[in-house]
Amino acid sequence: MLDIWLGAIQNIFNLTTLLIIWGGVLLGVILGSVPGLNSTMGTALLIPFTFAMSPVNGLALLSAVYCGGTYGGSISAILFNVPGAPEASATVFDGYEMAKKGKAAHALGYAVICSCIGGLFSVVIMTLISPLLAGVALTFSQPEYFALAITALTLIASLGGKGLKKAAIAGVFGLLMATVGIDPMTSDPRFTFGGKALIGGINFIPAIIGAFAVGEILARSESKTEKKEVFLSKISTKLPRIKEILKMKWLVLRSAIIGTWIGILPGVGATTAAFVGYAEAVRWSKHPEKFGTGIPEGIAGPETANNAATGGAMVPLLTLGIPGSATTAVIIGGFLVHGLQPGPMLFMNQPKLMYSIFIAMFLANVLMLFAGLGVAKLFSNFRRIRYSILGPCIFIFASIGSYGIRNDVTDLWIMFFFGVVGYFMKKYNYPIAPMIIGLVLGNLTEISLRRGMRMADYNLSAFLFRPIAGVILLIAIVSILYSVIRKKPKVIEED
Amino acid sequence: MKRNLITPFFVLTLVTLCFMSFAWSQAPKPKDYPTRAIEVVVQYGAGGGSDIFVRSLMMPARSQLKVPINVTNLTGGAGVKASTYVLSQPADGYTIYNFSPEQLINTIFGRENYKEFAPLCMVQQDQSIFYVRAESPFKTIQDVIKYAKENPGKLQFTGTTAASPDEVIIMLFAKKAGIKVKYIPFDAAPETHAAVLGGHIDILHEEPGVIMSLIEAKKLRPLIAFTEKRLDKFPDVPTGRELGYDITMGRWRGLCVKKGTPQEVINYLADVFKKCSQDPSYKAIEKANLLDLRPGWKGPEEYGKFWEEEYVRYKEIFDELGYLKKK
Repeated sequence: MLDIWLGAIQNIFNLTTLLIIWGGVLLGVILGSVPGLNSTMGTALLIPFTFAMSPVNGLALLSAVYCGGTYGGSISAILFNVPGAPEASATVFDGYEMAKKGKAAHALGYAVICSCIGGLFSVVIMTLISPLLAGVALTFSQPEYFALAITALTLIASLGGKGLKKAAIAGVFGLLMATVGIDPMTSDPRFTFGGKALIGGINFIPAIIGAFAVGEILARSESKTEKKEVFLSKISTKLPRIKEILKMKWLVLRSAIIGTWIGILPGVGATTAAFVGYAEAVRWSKHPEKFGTGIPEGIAGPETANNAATGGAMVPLLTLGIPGSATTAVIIGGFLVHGLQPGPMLFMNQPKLMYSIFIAMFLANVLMLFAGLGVAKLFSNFRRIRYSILGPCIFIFASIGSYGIRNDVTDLWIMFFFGVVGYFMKKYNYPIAPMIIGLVLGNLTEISLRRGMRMADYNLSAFLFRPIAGVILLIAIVSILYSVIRKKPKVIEED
Repeated sequence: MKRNLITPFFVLTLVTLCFMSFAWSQAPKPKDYPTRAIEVVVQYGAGGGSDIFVRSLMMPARSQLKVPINVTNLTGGAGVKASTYVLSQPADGYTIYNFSPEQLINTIFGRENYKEFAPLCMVQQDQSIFYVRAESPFKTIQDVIKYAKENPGKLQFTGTTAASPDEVIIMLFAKKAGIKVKYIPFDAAPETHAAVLGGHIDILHEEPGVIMSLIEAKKLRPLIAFTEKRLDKFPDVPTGRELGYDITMGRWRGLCVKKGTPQEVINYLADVFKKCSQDPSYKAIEKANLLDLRPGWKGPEEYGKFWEEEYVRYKEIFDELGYLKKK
């Protein structure tokens, strides 16, 4: 064991490999922060280049890009209301609101620190008990996935703030939007109106960009006088004090565990992890009504969880050859170009390579702190521009981001559509976050329910009497009841 | 007067060059092609089997064609999105498409028309195999059939997406074996592997390349292969044919362009990709994924005929399975 570790350390701690990891993290953060580019694309593009490298260097590069990219999306989410990568979708909720209050530097600081903690936590877990966890993850079947999704959906009730009814309407609208496209169980087209444009469904990234960024631009362009915004002449990332982090230690720990676990589960990745992390942060908070108004907890929840999912997603990949997320599916290609097939045999035959990857990911998460600080500083200069100029720039940024996600013009129309929807929702005081949660989690909820029902011959008890699924569903039900009962008139801060 | 001298000289050089390229390859390089970057559209996500196939074939193609080749993933709608995009581009050979069986299936369901594409070449043919997990009580495929006959409609199969080639082969097998089974589709292949390994679903349909490590670690056991003859890699696994189920199928991968693309461009590209498919860098990836077990190469004409055959075959199967009645 010790000699494997020593060998792995030797593999990583040489100038070339360290530089490759640093470069990978930096590239990842940049790819993540630019809307329309993300770590999945980045790794796919880099694979041919890793052909010329040694397996250790190549895989270190890919995992570094993966870690960096998962964090990077939060930068543009916080500064411009446009998630740079799908994983940062939930960071928009509180990140941008915080930036609006003039606390962009704090928001960036929380994002980078929590990403780093989440990432490190998952790498340590992955190093210690990978094979064990992968085995447990396999016991999760459709009812458990369904319970997980539905529990996060119940957050809609807690998020209601001023009106449960309005939140519910927004949430159901989101769920409805998630059903557009080809039916996953029967392959019939749904709500496509006979055309080909909507057959691919409604991608949630253009929808989020539309509802948040475009909606905001429309709403703001209405007011004649420019709203005075708190602009600091010099924004750089302001790392939170240790005391401030300690104050939310349970939240961060909870999100790290949730993120790691969801990362391990095949079929769901960092994006779902971020939403569930956010949901649980709201659920266990003493002041759930403050979420969405720009509080650090609303950044810590999703950001810890999505980076924790990176280490998690590597667990089934390395132990079983089953990728835990979209990017890890791409990383398989990085193994294949070297004639390696990730899976149980590789774990047994090449432990040194495995431990080298662990160390590389650990380092990547530490280096992310510095790369994050640098890239965030670069981007935050844009915030010094007046909104009347910045707004249209964000609009262009948003359009590129929506189009780039899958090179489809329909996604631009979806962005415009949701921009108008977001504008009217703002105007009539409907919360947008429940709609996004419905849209993001709708697919998982639907498919796991229908698949599970078909597997259980349409017997609902299969969902309720499985121990894990049952307990999670129970939590969901209790939390709905609790939030409905508690919904007494309260003084709520206006945003 | 000077100009008059230059023109014949230029023509002569051009003719010589043309002849030289004749000598080098069977298909002549078309004039003015390619002069700019070529886009290759993949209708599936980055990192999947089709994506890896295209990207690994394009690696040697870049040096052959001497222009940049950009691979674009345009996912969604079982490939309809990507097909629509390719058809919206001019038929000039600068947009190449990864043609897959889904395009034929989409045509059957009336979502697109495969006849709008012109075949370039088929490069690979994969092998369909059924597996169970190590702990499964099924030792042979006969055990499976026996169980299914005793418990009609209980046996669960999984594969990737609904109304896919995976479902076709599973349902065809069920029909030939006279059993009733359930098909549980997942959106992505790794989820199907996890569901079978976790014991939630009985039988997995998959091509062996992606799960080789799980097979070698004896976590998955192959039961039956739908190939012409037994695979050298699994000498103990019977073929469907041996057992009286005459099914030989497997996902194939190839390329096409929009119909109307000049024939010389098609021939030239087919020729280039044939060379690329022999390139050591591509061969290595093919071998690592066990894609070299079945002859896969088909030229433009052969590939076109193959489309027709496959189309008829799929249509028959979907008809028999009752998929088209409800439409």
